[in-house]
Amino acid sequence: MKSLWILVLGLVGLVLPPASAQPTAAELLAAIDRNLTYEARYARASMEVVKPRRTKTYELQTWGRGVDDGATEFVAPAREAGTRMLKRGDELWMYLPTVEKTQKISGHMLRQGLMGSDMSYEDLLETSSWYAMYTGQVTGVEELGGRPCWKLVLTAKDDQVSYPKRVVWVDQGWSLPVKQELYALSGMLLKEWLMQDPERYGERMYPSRFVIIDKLQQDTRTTITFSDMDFGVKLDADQFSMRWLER
Amino acid sequence: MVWLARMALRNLARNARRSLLTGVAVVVGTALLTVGLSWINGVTTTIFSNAADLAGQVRVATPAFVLREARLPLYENLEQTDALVQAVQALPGVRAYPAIRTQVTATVDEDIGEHIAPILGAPLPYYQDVLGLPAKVVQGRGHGPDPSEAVLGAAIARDLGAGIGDDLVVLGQTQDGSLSPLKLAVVGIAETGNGLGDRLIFVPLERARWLADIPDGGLELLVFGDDFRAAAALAARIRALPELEGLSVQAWLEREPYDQLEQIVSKIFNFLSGIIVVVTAMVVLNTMLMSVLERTSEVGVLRAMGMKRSHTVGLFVLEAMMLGGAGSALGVLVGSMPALYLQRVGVDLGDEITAKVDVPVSAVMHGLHTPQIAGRIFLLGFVIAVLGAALPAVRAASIQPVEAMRRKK
Repeated sequence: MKSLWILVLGLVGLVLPPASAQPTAAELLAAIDRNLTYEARYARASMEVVKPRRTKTYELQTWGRGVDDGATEFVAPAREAGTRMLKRGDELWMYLPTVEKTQKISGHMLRQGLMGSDMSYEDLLETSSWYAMYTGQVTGVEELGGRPCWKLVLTAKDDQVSYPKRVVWVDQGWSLPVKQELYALSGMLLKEWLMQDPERYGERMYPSRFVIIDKLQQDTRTTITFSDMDFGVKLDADQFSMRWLER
Repeated sequence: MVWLARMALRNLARNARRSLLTGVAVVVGTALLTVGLSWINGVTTTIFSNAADLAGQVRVATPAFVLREARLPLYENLEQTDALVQAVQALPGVRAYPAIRTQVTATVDEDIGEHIAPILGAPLPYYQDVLGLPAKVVQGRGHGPDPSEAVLGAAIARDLGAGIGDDLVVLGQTQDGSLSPLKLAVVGIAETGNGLGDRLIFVPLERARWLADIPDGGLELLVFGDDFRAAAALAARIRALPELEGLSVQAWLEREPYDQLEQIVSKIFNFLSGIIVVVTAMVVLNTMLMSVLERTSEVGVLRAMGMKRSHTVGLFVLEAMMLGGAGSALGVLVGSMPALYLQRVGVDLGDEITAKVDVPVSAVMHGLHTPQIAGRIFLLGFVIAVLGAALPAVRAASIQPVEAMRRKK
């Protein structure tokens, strides 16, 4: 009888895959950084902003270099076409073609939604490495959309970070934060941020769609869908300059 | 009775100095009352009329906008206003104008965002016919056919350092919350006559629609009839229109802050009017009382000679009616001259006071003299004069004649 039990347990051990060894939060954050940060990137995107009374879609193209530099140009609809944004470090500038003026986005304006979307200007600025910004703990494993995810509770290392606390579900296969809950210092849930339908670009997995839901507003949702993503793009020397912005 | 009237007339002539002094008191009292009440009437009418002009005698908006009005939520708009305008203007004598008001940062310098200012977008006929804006332009001109032209209130023009021909850059928001810039040409600076209007940037509706990205609509529909005092009745008629079902329709005095403004202003000016009326009445009453009381011995003589009590009282009442009637009529006439002068010229309070309050108080306060006010004051002077004479006359006539004759003059 005893030998039979040993045999059964031995067979079970052969059939079941070994349980994933639980990574540390730091390891997961480093893995996320490997996917989400880049040396250079170009993408086209459409941004659908759903409000209770109407839905508006913007078309844009965006360039990025490292964690500091970013440039965005809206190409549609007509009234926003030509509007450009330039991020340099922790500064954000917007060129308004209808008045031919450049506006620095600062102070309370940073908390407003980009083109009225659920994504704030402040969110645009926060492109630093997750590893550099947060520390935290893995609190368990949960399934999202039928895929196992590590659940992390992250705390900001610096009080200048927009969201002092994040609860993040990191897909075990993709190493992407497929769902995030972004909290204020008070513990209030501010936003929910989903990263969906990732595609592989060499070693990198990158989401082709962001869904952002501002929890302080009712019945709003912003979906950014990327296309023509290119992580090997050669960027012009003046791509992130004021000259480009006001050209 | 004719004999009593003749006797009263003779009595008035008999002591001309006394009659003159009593009459002058009535004239001065009613004249002051005429000036005071006309001016108060003008001030309250101006405040309420300004409020109704800016806010609309009746305002149509979505209930959700009304609920969050303090935040001027652009997304709670009337999406299509043409059909609403058509439905409302089908009522005889009614005009309707879509309007958009929102907050923007405005500048005439290089950098955007130095001054926060309210901007009003409305059709040009609203500026012309309701606000009379072109006539209030003190520099430059009113709006022309170019929709990019702005007329600035004098106070905001001063704050911005804006002059005619300057480019005014405003940064507002669309109804979606997206930043929305607008370049406008300053073509006129207007002294609207009230602090609220002087802080406004006036632009054509078309431009405000672009700014807010509400292509065919507005935040409010401002509706006007013939008389702002009849706004509640007009609101009731508009509410009955099937095209406006589900929308909020409010007369200006049913809306915040105008409901409270109306109550507060009415209370203050009713109190002031009351003081003026009481003081004037006391002067007239006192003069009449004294003039009859000093004639108590005369009442005794008349009674001793066989005059009935009722005739004695009647004699004094008739005297008072003649004096009060003539005095009040003359008083109203005399008071009407300065009242009409105040109506035309007004009293300049200076825009330092009016620019700081959030009610449409005019810097120059004009009176408003009306036949109704003149009629009421005449009646008041007359009644007080008669009462002032009748009360002591009844008392004197009830005293024994011998006792009455003993009373010193």
